[in-house]
Amino acid sequence: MQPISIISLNAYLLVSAVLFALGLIGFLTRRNLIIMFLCTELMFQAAAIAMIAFGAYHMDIQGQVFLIFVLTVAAAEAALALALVVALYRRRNSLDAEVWSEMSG
Amino acid sequence: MLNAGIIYAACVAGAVGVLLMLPRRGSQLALLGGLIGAASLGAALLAVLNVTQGADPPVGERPGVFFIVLAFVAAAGAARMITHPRPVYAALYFILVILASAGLLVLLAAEFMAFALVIVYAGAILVTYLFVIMFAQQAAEEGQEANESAPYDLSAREPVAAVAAGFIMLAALLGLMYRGTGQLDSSSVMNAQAAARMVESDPAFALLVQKAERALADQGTLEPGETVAWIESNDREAWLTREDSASAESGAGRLVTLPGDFQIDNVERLGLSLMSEFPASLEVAGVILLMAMLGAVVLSRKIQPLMTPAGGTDTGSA
Repeated sequence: MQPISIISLNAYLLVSAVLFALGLIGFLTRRNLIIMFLCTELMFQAAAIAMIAFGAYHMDIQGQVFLIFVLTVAAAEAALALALVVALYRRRNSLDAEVWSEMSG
Repeated sequence: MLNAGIIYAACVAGAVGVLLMLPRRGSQLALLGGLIGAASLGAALLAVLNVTQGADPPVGERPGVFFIVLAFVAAAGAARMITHPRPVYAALYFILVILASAGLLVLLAAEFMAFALVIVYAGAILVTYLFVIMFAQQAAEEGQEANESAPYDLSAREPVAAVAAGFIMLAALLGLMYRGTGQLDSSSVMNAQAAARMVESDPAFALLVQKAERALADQGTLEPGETVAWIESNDREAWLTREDSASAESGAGRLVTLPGDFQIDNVERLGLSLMSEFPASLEVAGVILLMAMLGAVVLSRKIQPLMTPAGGTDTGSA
């Protein structure tokens, strides 16, 4: 195991930040419920790259261990989010997030 | 601070690019937006790779061509995923992002997590997403043409405000990142020493020492009474000490080269750390998965009206 340099760390963090920003923009702009949850998965992915990059920089395996738990939470989140999406879809017969806009209060 | 200026300018240009790519009725500028976005990512990468160029950094300090390619594929896949008007294609582009970032993890020597990511994300989670997308589309397509996107997929919601929010956050993240990583100690040698100390304080280290001792004993290098004190962080050499008190006081010992086939691979390190340091977290993770499974079953069941013995209907539970 060799540690990566600060230049490499910065480059990986740049990619991670770009993916996170794109996921955030997707979550805010898309109106399809499924795509909105897909964008949260993109943000998980960005966090995963950042964690592994920091783990490689500090030569600490715990960055990778933590990613296992992130993966667990992401899987649980996907299952619950999709169940919610299916339940919402059955009510209004549409995946449009705008049809639930009266819930904003 | 020329580099910071380049990065902020790249954020602005990237915002314009993503704005042009977002789905809008009658917009023909998506390709132009993609080109602007790719150019700004390239500019930001160039600025990052030159950011600490005081003296010439040694060869191998910078990420190679594979990193550049995978970074562009990941960013392009992500941009296409949030802008594609058809959900199935968005999910497929997300698989592309996963494959590219798994490649990045392989470059970072995290092989196990790279393949776990491909199997769990691209395999399991994305297939679930595709099932739900197709379940919803099949019902929706009765009223419209087969090849047409749903109207709510064709226009973005508040594109200017969302892109501004996202890229202001990106600029803030990158600005803070350079201020932060500039304060890390830049010498790889110091990192390696710190890492060697970390390995010694690791509870899993005892198991690695046993493995190294077995390997050295098989090779015949380990003399009776000697034990492995630590393994160098390059995994190639070990420091041997004698158990008797005289040499323990003087700190005497010798450095031997480990056998060529001795290696501590990524899965081994990961498993040792997971099982020796986080066993309770592992149990909690199992409970989380069980709860998610129960929750998904409860949430997605259909409410069936039950026949009551009197012949009327009961609405069942809420």
